[in-house]
Amino acid sequence: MVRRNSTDHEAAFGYRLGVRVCRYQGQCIIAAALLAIGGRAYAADDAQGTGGTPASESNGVPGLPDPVVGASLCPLPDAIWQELVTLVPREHLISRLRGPGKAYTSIQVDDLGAMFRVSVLDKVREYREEARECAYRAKLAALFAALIIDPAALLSGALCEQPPCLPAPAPSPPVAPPPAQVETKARPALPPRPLVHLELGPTLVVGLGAEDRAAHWGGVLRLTLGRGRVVPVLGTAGLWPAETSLGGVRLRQWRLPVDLGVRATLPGSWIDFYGELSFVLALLSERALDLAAPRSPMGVELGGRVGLGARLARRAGLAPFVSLQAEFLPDPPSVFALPEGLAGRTPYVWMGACVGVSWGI
Amino acid sequence: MMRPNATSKRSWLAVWCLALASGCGQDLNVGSDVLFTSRFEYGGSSFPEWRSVGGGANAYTPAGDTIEVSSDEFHPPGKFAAKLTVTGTAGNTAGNGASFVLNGGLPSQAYYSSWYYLPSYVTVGLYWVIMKFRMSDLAGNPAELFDVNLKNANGGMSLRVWDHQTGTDLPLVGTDASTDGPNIPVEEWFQLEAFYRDAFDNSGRFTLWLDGQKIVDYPGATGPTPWVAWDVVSVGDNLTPEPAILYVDDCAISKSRVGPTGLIAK
Repeated sequence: MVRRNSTDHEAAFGYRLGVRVCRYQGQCIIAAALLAIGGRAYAADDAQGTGGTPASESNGVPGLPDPVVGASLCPLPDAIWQELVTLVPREHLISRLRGPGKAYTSIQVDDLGAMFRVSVLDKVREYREEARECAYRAKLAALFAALIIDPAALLSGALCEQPPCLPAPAPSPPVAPPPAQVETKARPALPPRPLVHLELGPTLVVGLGAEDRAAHWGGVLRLTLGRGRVVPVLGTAGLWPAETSLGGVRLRQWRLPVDLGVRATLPGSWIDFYGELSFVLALLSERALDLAAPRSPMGVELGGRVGLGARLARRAGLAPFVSLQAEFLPDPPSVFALPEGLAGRTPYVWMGACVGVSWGI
Repeated sequence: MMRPNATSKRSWLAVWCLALASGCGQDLNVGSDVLFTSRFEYGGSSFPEWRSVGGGANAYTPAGDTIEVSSDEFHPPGKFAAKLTVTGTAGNTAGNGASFVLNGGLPSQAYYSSWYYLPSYVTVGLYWVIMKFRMSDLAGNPAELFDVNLKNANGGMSLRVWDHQTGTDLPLVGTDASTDGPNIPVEEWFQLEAFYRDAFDNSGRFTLWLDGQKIVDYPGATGPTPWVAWDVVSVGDNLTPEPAILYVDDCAISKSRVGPTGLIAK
């Protein structure tokens, strides 16, 4: 939807009321294409070391505030300005930021962790960039600012071939967006999501239903494969044996569950939430502790597993996660001992919690 | 021709069905506290359950007494029981009768369980012992300790426990030895289970349950040595009518209590 009274330029770039979030496709492709256009100027600017600095020194008008402000560590306001002056003539920037008959305004940048926000002349946009590549963020912010301030300067890149940009005759009014074919040649704005997530962490699993609730400590290993929001997941847990009691028979219990299912992820700005639904198969070993002639039989449990988790939103690398799980076993094994007979059944429900690290590859 | 994806789906279904079939309703037998059993289910009269154990034996004297495996009155879920038949009990001062014996090699404390069946009322002239515990004195000579006896009371059958050390009956729980004691059913199986802890001080103990109900609880010295013998017997003096028949089944020694509902074999 396009805001009423918006200009053609705003409508073409999808600006709406408030903030628009860029998620790698669509609008970001346009911005990335424009980045490629400005690439030559950027390189030349780096070579000559004349990237400019903010504040009065850079804008050439003593007493004016910094052209790029904000308590952002990634990207730094300076870095945005250095990128911006390679795209748009400095005079254009100053004159547009000052505006005819208006007070001087600055470009505002905010670091939101996995995202960052750029505000230019009342236009705001948030970009998601989980890898926190600050130089890349600076380029993206400068492109956005250049599009708002002087898109014509971007298209007539000759003006900036030898930065700092040469002054142009006059600030150009907003023009139509770049041709559509530019979008098709654009590279992806951000690195793809990891293909594999490997999760590892300590866990506590408790069986409900036994006389003494056996608490098993151990480690969890889970693996997801795929970049989509719904991906297959395979998991297992190595659990230390624990003592419990069933029908008065003291037991040492050991369990090795393996589950296979699907994980659906709901990505967020800071946290990705996910839910899992799996089939679970577990090996269960019970050993009587006090019987005169103990045995150690092993059984198989089959059932379903439900899991919920949250992971710090990052494109790649390590990210902490927490998860809860419940395994439901409709027909768990029975424990039998002489002379008592049937001592009881192993738990119908196993609850577990895990805190660990997820590695995106 | 079946499509490949259909084949794959059916294969997965088969795997899951197989896994479910193998994984559900399993019994995990974690072991046993039962140290000795005699269920008499072998069908013969060689009594290997008793005779194959060190100190184990069966005996019957005089010539008229018999022990045989019978299916006349078996204790469910088995098919057979031991039938102990005794005759010539008048003036039986030698303690003749039909006996299953475990002499020694028993734990210092354990539960001793056996099921009995009286096919008819028997008049007990002097005594009718159906379970015995014996000890060994410091010189190593076996000696009598406790006898579980059937007796007549209130027109029926009852129990008493004779203490050879004191020459008296042990007091019954909640009352004293002079009372008539609990009723023993005729033509019904009943279980006697005793807990025996061997000690020559006050940590010794002898407790007896009838069908799960405690009827004797004796704390005190038992045997002076770790040696103990357990007999399942039919030894009587002046029983009428003769022959006096007693069925026995599902004898067991266990580290934990068997009780009327316990199992001694799976």
